[in-house]
Amino acid sequence: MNENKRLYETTYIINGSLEDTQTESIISKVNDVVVKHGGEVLSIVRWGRKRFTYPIRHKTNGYYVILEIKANASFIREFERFFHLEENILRHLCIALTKQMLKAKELKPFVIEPSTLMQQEVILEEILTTEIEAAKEEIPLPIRQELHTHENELQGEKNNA
Amino acid sequence: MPKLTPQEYAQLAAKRRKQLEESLKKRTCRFCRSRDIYIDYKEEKRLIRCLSEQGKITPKRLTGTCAKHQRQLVIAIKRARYLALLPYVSTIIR
Repeated sequence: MNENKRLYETTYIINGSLEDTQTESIISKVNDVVVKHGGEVLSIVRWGRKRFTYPIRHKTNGYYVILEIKANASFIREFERFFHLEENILRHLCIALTKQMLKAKELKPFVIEPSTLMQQEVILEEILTTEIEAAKEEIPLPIRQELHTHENELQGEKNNA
Repeated sequence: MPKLTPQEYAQLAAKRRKQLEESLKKRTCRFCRSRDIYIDYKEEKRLIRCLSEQGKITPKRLTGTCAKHQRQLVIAIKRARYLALLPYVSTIIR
């Protein structure tokens, strides 16, 4: 069966709190799935760990990967099914590359600056946010009430005088 | 006022004339100027300028983009929002 091969571009986001070895294993797993279903990986771009603009599944950062794939049209359904089953992949987006996009890529290749958000920074951020939330909950109410009554007494004295 | 030589005066006059011409011309689409065939959803630093302070997509009557590029822009922004490269709603960015 000689089906026409099409070009696809997929970007997917891996959970950012995993270690480097685990992210590498997930990336190689995805590549194996592509090959198993009759596709060819033309290029991989590891964009790196980036901060989200809104939390996804209560997480604030993730590891972005961009793939360029050459495959049949029947490949996409099984590929997306794999993404839905994998727990550590938070989002995925598959796009078919049109002639316009290919022409534009040749004229102006898009250069991705790999982001430098290190895992240590990520861990520090999470610790700080949890500490701040814990401190807010721990302020006991009686202290607040005492301050309030003291201020009221002063105001009462001023009004009387 | 410092005294200008005739050469400097001529240069200044040419510059002023050019500025007048540009301001009287209609605003052109910034993507047509840079001759973009395809607007990529991965270029977040470029796309974030097309959002308002609240994170909404600015209409083309304010930015001056042409209809063709506005359609491509909207698709790119919506894809970038799905991948958390741009916000849906924001008061912090900018």
